Amino acid sequence: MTDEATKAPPKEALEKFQADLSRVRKEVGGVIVGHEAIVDGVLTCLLAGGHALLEGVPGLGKTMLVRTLARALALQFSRVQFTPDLMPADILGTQVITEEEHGRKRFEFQRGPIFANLVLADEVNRATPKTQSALLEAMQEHSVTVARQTHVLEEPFFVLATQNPLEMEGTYPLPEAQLDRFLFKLHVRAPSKDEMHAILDRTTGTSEADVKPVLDRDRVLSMRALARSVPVPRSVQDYAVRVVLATHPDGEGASTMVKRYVRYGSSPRGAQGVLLAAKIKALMSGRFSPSIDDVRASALPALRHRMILNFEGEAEGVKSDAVLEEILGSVKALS
Amino acid sequence: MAPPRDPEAPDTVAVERMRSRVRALRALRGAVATLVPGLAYATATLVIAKLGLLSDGRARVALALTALFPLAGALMGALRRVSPLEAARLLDRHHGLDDRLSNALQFRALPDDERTPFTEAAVADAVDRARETSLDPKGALPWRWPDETKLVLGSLAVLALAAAVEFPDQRVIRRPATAAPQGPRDPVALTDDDLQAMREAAEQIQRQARTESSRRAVSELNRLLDDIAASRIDRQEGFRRLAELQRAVDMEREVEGDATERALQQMGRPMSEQNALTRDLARAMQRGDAAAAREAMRALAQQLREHPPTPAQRQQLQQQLQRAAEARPQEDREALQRQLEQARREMEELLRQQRERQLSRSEEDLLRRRRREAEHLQRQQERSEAQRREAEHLQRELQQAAQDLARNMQDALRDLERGAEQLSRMESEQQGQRSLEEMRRQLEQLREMLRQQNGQNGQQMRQRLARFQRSAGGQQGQQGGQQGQQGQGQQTPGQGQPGNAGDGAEGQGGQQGNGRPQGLTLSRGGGGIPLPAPGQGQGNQGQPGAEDGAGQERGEGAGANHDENGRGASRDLLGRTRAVQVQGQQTGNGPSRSQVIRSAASQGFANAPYRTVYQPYWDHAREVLHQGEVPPGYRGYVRRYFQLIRPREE
Repeated sequence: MTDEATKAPPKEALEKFQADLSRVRKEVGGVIVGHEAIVDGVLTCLLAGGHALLEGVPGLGKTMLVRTLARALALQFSRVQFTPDLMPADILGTQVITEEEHGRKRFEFQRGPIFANLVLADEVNRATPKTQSALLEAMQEHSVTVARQTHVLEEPFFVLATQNPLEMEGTYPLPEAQLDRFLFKLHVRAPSKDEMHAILDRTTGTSEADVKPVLDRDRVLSMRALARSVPVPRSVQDYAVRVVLATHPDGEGASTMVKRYVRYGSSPRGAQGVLLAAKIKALMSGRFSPSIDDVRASALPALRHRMILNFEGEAEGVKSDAVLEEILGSVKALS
Repeated sequence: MAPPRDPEAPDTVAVERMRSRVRALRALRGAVATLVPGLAYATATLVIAKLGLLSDGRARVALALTALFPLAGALMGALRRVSPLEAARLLDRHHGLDDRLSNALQFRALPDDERTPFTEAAVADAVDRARETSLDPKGALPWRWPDETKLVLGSLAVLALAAAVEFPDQRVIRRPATAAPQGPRDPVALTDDDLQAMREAAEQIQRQARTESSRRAVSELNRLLDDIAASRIDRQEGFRRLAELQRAVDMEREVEGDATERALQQMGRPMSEQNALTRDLARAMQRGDAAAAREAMRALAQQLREHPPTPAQRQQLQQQLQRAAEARPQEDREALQRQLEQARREMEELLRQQRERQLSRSEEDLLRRRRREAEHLQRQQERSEAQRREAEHLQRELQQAAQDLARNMQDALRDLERGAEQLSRMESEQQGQRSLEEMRRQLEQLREMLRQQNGQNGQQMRQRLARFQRSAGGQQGQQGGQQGQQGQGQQTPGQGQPGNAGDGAEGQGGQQGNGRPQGLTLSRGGGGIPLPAPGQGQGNQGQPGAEDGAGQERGEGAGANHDENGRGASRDLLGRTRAVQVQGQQTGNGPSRSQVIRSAASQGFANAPYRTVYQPYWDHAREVLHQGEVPPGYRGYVRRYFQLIRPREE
């Protein structure tokens, strides 16, 4: 199926890609008011094969967004509410003793909620690091190893985590290695006045929006393959590389702000995420190759959680977004 | 597949047009940017020109060079490389093509194996967009005045202001280069010691000068020495003035003449040296030496007064004096008179022609020469006449003394005293002549010194002499130098040659001996420089012959007298002197006598004034130099040696 998608004429594949995506947007848009950028970001992560971390205060519709997206995509969906007492086995699954017909007893692996196409890790920072780390293998390797037995997760495997930035009491910030597994970190902002009216209109009445699945699992995989086949010009890739290198305080082209406030810059995984996201953005825009502006647009969500500020940056309340915007302003399109 | 490079493709055409526009605008902006320093340069040039510090022609050229600034800026801007990708991105941005053109440009450049359907689709998409969109390079890169525009306008305003303002004319009027007082290019440079020696000699000549013209010549020599000392004249001028001085001295010598000397010689020639009483007088007169003759005549009078002569001696003396009194000096008056008359005739002829017509320049010169010649001959004739009268006066005194010897001895003695006084007057005449001769010698020596400065050889010669002077410890110009001691020359008495048998008259005195050549050494401390010099021994006087008519035998043996000036330094304790007694041989041919020759230690230290010792040596050295016995290259050493050891004023 994937081969068929890539062998189709590019123009047709592009048009179908845009049409499918448009339908998903339409379905999601029927439930979710606003948040188009968040929806596009989540879809970008899904089509790029990555995972997304949504950060926002409670009540902004993060969970609703994910549930709506899951329904529109007709993918197997599971939701895990992270709590401090949540154990890895609660996510991954565990060995249980079962009795066969003949009375014989044996261990049987009971799959956890991670075994789904689309996993919602709600308030992921409330779980202990031990539990958070249970996601590491699943997110990177798309497999789970329990009792020396590896269980491959079904593709597409997409983790969508949410976290609340306000409550610091009883939370465990995600470790850097965990954060690096997320392709995008998306900030969910509060709705505008009109959006708020629309939300109230939709959710306080008797009518309930119906979401139809518009994309199945195969189509998602086909769209992933198409995105991978998008060519990237050397100048665009060079720009992405220079932007990522500029996030390192000791890297080439590091600005004064980076040198002052950044402890560690983005990993190569960040550059991969930027470029993949740029490709999908190009497809979304109906183009056969990404532009530098696509890289610029992808850089912020793909790199903001991969840059680690130093003590001075933390103390002065410097946001990684400000540092990245400064980098994007200083790195020239043509070297 | 799209061709790798399709110059006809609309996107490619648009990119090329964009590149041209970028290049043009860069050139324009470069020109504007470089106008700022150009206008500053022009303003400065204008101000400098208005201040008169720059000529108009040069100012125009300098102002014209202002145009080079914007031209250089435009050239640099136009030649800067404009990449197609840069041009494509400008178009992409302006037309919102999301890098379609720039991406297509790069995809076109990919090799075939790297191309995919998507790259082809991207290129086709770019071409389609380029066709659909009217790509506008002007819109993509509109003209924008560079930031330096305000500076250019300000600079133009300043330039206009500078052009409008009139500055006070500060033009420097250069004075024509005046001839700065410059020293001569090739100044005569003599050492202070040379000049001092010359001055001392001039002072001595001045004391002996008798005539006004002689004193003028000495004054002129002193002025010449002053100019040389102050480096006011060069060698050429020095030679010229030296030649004039020599001509003047020669003329004066001719005027002075040698009538006195010749008269004395002719009076002394008939006198016999065999006569013991008149021997010294005869010799002095034969030499033409008035001073020596005066002393000899006084000594004769004293001897006659103290030891009255025997009749035979009186007769012989009378005979000798009579001979001198009767001697007729050669008359050159007639020749002199003829020359004078000839000059006068020619002068009168020229004067007559001058009255009749205008004389030519050469004739006027000839007239002047003849006039000077006549005056000169006239003076010469007068001087000769005066000297002749003095000689006749002496002869009259001698005649009178000869006559009085037969009658009254006291009258004869008075006559001899008067004769001595007359010789004193003649001596003063001779001194004038000798001062002129000394003047001429000094001038020749000065000329020789100037010659030594000629060319590289002269330079080397001066250096050698300077080294010689330093080594010799010259008494002048040696700061803190120890005065060199006069070396002790080894005395090597030569064997006097006995006089040959005369023609029945007197025996000849010993001649100059021939000693081994001895190096003269000037020593300072332990070192010294040997100087090549002709060997000369001290010849003792030969033994006088016998009486008149009996001197057939030649004199033998050592001379009777020791050289009064040749005792050497009495302070030299290593002289190894010893007393020698020489017994004269009894030949029966003359009054031989024995004499003890004592060394300095036994006889006593030398007490003769150094000046007295020096002068005969120097006179002899000059004579040797004059005779050419010293090679030309060494004459300077000899002169310098004697100059260094000359007696100096205390």
